[in-house]
Amino acid sequence: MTISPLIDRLIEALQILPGVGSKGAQRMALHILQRNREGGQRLAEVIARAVEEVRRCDACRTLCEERLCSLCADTQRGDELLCVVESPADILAIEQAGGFRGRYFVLHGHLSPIEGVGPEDLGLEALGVRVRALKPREVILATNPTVEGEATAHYISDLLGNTVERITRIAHGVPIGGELEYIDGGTIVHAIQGRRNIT
Amino acid sequence: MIRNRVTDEPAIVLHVRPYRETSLLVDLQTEHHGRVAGVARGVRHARRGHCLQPFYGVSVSWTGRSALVTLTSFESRRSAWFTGNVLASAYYAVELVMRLTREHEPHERLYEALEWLMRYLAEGHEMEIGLRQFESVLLEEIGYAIEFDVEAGGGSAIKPNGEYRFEFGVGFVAVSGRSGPDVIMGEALLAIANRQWQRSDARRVARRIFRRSLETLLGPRPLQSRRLLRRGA
Ligand SMILES: [Zn+2]
Repeated sequence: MTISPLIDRLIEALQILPGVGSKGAQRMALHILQRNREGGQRLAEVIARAVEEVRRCDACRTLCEERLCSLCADTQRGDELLCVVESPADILAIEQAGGFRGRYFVLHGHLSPIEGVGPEDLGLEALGVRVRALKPREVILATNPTVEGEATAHYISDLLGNTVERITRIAHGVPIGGELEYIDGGTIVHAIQGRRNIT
Repeated sequence: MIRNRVTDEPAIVLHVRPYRETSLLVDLQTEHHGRVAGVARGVRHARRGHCLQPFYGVSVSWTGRSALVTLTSFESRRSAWFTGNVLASAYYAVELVMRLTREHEPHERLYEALEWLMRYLAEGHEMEIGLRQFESVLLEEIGYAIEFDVEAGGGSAIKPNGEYRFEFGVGFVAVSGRSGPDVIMGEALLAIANRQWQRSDARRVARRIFRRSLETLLGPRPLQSRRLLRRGA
């Protein structure tokens, strides 16, 4: 049943959001129109502006509004470490965890031979440019501990080859607080491969 | 309508991709039902992880008979974690299976060969031999078996000191008084027929013949997994 074509369009538009189905979208639309028109106005304005103005950082390709993001513009951060991640959300996770003061590069995806996502889709040339400009001492490959993430790390380490002194892969394995008995076999293989000396 | 139900079917995970918010779309090579695509609901953010990871050996149950079945249970039989060129090799095998077989077309020997290859790679053996062995079974299973010990047309046996040329879909044709890069010595062919993979000529010739055959079957779209191979490998 159609009450109003405009409400229908709003409900449909809201369903582009992850996790929002037709029921949820209907609830949101009615909430905005019945109880919070002012908030709806703000939401509309900020979405329009963000979509217009947010772009990719020239250096690391994360999402930002300026030519350079705040992390790349920060002169307090060192250039010795360059951390390669799959998505801007990964930067947020690492920054929230704290402890890393180097630079980043965002791939916006990972290689997937089966889905036909190749090196050119990730703009890996831009990574080469970034590495040559920054001259880091170490590139940390922080792609996800998935098969695709591993394939991507493998490809990049080959691509960068000896242009960088040191190329490392983040450690994966047994989570803090985990018990070996309950951990999946693949994770254990991984953890054993990535073992290190106790110092 | 009677719903189709399959229980505890051995399978190998070929590919996994996110589906909706919390589900996964999984391609499986099963022992008795060929390649099957299924949905696993509500597993994507399972805190303890799950076994629906590429190259894992699993045991699955499903319902439905359409192109997309619903996975009702799955458990791990064999885990898998590959890196570097071994990972590229595992991807290569999976990509060939995805590209060259049709869904729901039973291929028991192919399942066995893939399962064997995954274990073989995990044990750290010579990748090249594993891949040649796998390619030969794959070609047989999809109807393009190559006979290495007889001449094309089912004629005479390959002679160790004979010289031959390979034609896809035809076989080995004797050549005489002509040498060139395409000419293959009979003894290399007999070594392949006897699976003497320790011989470097058998490995080299098999690699070339299987590659040419697979490329013909794959058509113009190149294999993505080849690009993962470390240069010089
Ligand atoms: Zn930046």
